Amino acid sequence: MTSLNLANESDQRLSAPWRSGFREPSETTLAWLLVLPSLAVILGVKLYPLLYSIWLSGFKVSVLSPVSRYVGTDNYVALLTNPNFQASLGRTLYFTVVSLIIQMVLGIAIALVLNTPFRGRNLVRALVLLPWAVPTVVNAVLWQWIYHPQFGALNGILSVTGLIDNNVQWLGSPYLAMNMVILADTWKTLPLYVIMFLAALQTVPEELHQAAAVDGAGLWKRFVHVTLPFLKPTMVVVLVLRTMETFRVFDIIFLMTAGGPAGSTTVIGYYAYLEAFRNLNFGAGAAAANIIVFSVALISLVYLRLLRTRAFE
Amino acid sequence: MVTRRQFLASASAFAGSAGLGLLPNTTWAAPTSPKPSKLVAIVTSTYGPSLEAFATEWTKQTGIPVEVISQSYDTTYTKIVTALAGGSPTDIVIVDSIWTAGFVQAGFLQPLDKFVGGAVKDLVPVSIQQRMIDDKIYAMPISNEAKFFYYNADILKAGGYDAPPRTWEDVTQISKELKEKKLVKAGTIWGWQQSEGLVCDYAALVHGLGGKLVDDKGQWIVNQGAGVKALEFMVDQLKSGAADPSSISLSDRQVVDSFSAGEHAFLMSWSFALGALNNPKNSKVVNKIKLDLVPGFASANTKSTSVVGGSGFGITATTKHADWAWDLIQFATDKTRQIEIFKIRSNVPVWKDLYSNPTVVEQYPYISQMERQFEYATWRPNLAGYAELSGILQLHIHRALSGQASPQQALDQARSEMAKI
Repeated sequence: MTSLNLANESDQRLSAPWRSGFREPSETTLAWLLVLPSLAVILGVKLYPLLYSIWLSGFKVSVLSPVSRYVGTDNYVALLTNPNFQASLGRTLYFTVVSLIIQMVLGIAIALVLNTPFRGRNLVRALVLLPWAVPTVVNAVLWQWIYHPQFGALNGILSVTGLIDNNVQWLGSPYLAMNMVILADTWKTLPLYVIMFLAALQTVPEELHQAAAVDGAGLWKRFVHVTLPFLKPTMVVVLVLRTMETFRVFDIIFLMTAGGPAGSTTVIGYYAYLEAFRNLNFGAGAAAANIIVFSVALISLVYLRLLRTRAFE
Repeated sequence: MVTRRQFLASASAFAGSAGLGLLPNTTWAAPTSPKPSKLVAIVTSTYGPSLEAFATEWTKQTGIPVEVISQSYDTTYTKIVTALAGGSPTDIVIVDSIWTAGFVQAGFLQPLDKFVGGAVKDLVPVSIQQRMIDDKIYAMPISNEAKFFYYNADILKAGGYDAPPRTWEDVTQISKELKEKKLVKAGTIWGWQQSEGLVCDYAALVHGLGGKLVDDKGQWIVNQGAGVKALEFMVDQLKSGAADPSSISLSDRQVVDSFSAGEHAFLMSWSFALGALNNPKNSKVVNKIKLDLVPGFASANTKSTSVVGGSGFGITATTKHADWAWDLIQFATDKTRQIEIFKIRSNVPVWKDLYSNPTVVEQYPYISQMERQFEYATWRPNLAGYAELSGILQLHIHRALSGQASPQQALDQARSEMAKI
């Protein structure tokens, strides 16, 4: 007790000279000061192009013609009523939903495996991270070669093991191509899920599992009632990040299939690119790009609502 | 007044061409404006290496450095459009035949008539005509291109044939026999990925069946007559196995790699394929491939068919150094340089006398073989909105090829969408 009092007194003596000369900024001011540099960059680099794009989408602008006229929301209406654009939107939703389901399930499963102790676990954890280090371009070309009908490894393995007689056109068949692109994208992005879920799994107290086991809960019941609640916040974060990324997918489509075969992998990101850079209709291209931006923003808002309600549970 | 540099350049060209027995290159007027700090050129990766080599030579003579930006054919179009629409300083751009009308309408290029002048009469007509809009020249041709017929002579011989087929009906028949004898995986392999190469083949086949893509009034007639028959032919080739099913996922560049493995008998491709197939580094069919006229159709009584292409160098409208840009262009496209390209890749010349010069012809016999094809070749329409129209056509042709729609349905839909442009 006495030592505490002495400590308090000395504290006051030390802090008094500080208080008269230097005023510590309040927390709000400090927060703003720290955020200001990044805010300046974001406003400068992102806000201006976004505003310009919104302005551009109100015009019928084509590089091929020197005249541009104001058309208001015509570009947006034309796009949303265009069956090709609607089909594109449908394909993007398919890509997003299927990617997320496969990657979430696999991500959690692999994280669970990597959470249980076994020999060489650290090596396996390091190896699981490797696909994330591969650049998207390299990943696309890599899988393009694996899927090559004549020289590809996939057909090679399948025919050597006798599972197929003729070479399969993995990227040549409209329904197959989209799923093979999803597979290629999954291989590259899975490490993100694994890392985040693995981190979340570390927060699950071992005693809860033991208590549940003592109560007679099986493996599945323990997973659903003990592990899953701890994973939920991470799941929402990962969902928000990955929904935004898969909705905007472009580079892997551009490199692997160029929107084909027969337009079956033309997602809205690629559609916007074609509209702006092949058809040279900058107004329509800007409108398509803005539709993507608004959709992604809407989805993020929905998720953030979900996150807020969860935090208060 | 001829400058010292000009004299040396034309003297060496004269000596070189005199050695080969060629007429001398035209001497062009010396550039009069002040020297630029550098020139920027955007080209496809087909010409990138050659232009860089020539530019290095040119820089030694003029002291002006040249920046050559090169990328694959499919991405060059967007590269040029974004650079020029965005205002990046560019002096020279490569202009593929089908881009000419669009670039001219967008105001990207300036007319070159005052530079080319009298040399027009020394150029092969089909090479310069494709570069002209409203009777003005907008690009200096670098190469003539058409689709040629390549066949594996060894495989044909093993199948009992000494001469290549003259009609596509025969090609189908021979493919079947060769496949039964297990000499080939499939008779023909094509580059029918959803890209411009697909429309090139389609246009050639429509022409072979006696039809056209666009009628005299400028309307697209792909969903009638020969237009439909050509697509039905393509679908049948795939279904019957005469054409390799992997054709629909190969670009017209990748298909040459596949053909070089020696598992197919016939290939229709551009001039560069000859050099690539005889390159011992990648090809398994070196010296086995021969060139002949593309077969015609017995049903349409046509002897042969093909489609022309090729590119030229254009000068941008925004350049401040048009005369220096022209100096580089005429250097890179003169006869001596054309012959140097023959050593690197099997190019088809644009200068008339290179076809008849005995030394050139003897050293490069493929030139006379390829020259014969141009008589039977058709053009793709030279329209400003060609890229968008071709994109729609590619999509629907590919839908029919991948079995998602019948040829008539696919072409009807293509036609109605193209009419809206």
